Amino acid sequence: MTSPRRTGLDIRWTSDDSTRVPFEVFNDRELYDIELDRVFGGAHWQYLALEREIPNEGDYSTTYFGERRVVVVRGKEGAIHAFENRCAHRGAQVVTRLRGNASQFHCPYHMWCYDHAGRLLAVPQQKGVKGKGGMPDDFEVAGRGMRSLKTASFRGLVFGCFDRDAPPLEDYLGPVAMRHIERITSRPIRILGYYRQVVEANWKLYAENTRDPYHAPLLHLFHVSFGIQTPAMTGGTYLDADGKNNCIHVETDPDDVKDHALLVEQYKTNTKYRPDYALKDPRIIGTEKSLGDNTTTVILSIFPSLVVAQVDNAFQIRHVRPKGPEKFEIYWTYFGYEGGSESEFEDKLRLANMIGPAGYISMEDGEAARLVQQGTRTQTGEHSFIEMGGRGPVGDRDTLAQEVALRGFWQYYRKVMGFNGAPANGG
Amino acid sequence: MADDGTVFAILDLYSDYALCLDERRFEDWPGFFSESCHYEVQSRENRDLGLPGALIFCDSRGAVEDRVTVLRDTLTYPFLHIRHLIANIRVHAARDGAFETSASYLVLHSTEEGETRIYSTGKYEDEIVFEADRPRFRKKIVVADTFAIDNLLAVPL
Repeated sequence: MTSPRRTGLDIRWTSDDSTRVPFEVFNDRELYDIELDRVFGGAHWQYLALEREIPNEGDYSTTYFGERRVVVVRGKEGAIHAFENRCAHRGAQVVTRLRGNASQFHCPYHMWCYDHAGRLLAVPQQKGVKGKGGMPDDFEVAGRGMRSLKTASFRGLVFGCFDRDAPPLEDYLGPVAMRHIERITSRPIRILGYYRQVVEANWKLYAENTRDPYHAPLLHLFHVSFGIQTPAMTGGTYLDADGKNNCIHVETDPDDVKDHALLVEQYKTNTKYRPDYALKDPRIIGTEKSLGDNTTTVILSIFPSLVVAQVDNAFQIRHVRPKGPEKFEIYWTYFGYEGGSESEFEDKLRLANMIGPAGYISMEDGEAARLVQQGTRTQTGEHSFIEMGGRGPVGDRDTLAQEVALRGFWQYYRKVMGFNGAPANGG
Repeated sequence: MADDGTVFAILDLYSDYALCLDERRFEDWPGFFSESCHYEVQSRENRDLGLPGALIFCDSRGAVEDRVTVLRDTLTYPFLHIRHLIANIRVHAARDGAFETSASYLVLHSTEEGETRIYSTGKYEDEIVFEADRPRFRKKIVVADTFAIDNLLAVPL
């Protein structure tokens, strides 16, 4: 029998350990609107930009916290400000270009003028014209700016937060995220390009995807065919204490790739493994590792919308921007490193083929999310089944054959959202 | 400047290129490129910012052929009917044995259930050489105005 449809915070979770996720959470509009407030607002530190994108005074860049438009600006003496892109007067979007440099910001509608921190400086005709009109005498520009954000940087990544009383950024990131960001920024980075990928699926399906090492060698056959990642490799997942931030990591061992017998066993139920596979231009494979170690995959997911990643030897930041309950954009920042050789730079141009919406590996993640959206969008009272890697408490795992970090995400998400009713056990 | 026969051959090249992809004859697609070639899909955003990272970057005929192999054998992507409309083809100059050309493209996608949407628009900036009297792309730079890619970019533009 079909259950009556529950919406918003009445959506029912049937397991304490989030081994069951109700499909309604991927398409419910009421729930989505609450997420925009509780997940993409409040005390969650969210990614704004790279410091090097706004090096000079007046440089600005725009982004989204959920669907809210946010501007990040370099002010005087290197200070970094951020504010919500909405005029304090009648609510118009003030900054209309994606990025640029400005000495001040003017709302196009009535020319209200703001400084780099989004503080209101002046209001045209404040005292009226020819002694008539104007603002009331008690009007003051002070304190009437655009809504400002708290900002903080970690290793060149700038984050912002709506809640002025939020705990420090380092506490929010936690040791797992900090360790991996430190590694990936251990050389000065060089931005190579941006990609945008628009997926017709709920943003949380991508949050699941980036926490799921199980799919990597199964969905992404390019991985297996060229030995970037196979089920035989060493790796696993690190989680922080509350499950919200976590990191999939894979390390190569030359023997893993050569373990043909194991691969044949792994792929015996399908025809996907192709041992005869070879590239005509193999320069994309086996490039000299930019960070020198044997790490071949890092997918660091920071709640709610940031992924810092290494896929083979291609490094990226992915910022997830929801566009309604059934659509999101992945905004990719593809980067290499300063000071490398010309051949390292040329490798990076070719490695662009691995990532982004046309990437041999990354393009399929959006499609996987879209397929789940298609499969679940009208479901009521049904749920997914997430037991790969076991049930019960979440924690680190030293295998890739698991999806435990998904449950870490859901555990934290449920806490943030505050669903009604106690979950029933089992399911 | 190019004579009429050359111009017609170049116009035919664009039509044949569009038909090849629209008819999903992906194995024939590398044949539109010369032995030494460069195929690249750039986002308009990166182009305008002067950033080198491409969506697709094939700096050899082998890399072009690899795109087809991966498309056929490893990638998971939705089945869609494809329609390329290529217009405003201009032959600009002959330089270093190649004709520099440009064109606008519009690619439409239609689902198996017959719904159509605009998938991508942008321009081609190409260099065409004649090998054994047949025109081939020595260089094909696709600059996508539609750089917010709808889901994924599997089939080349």
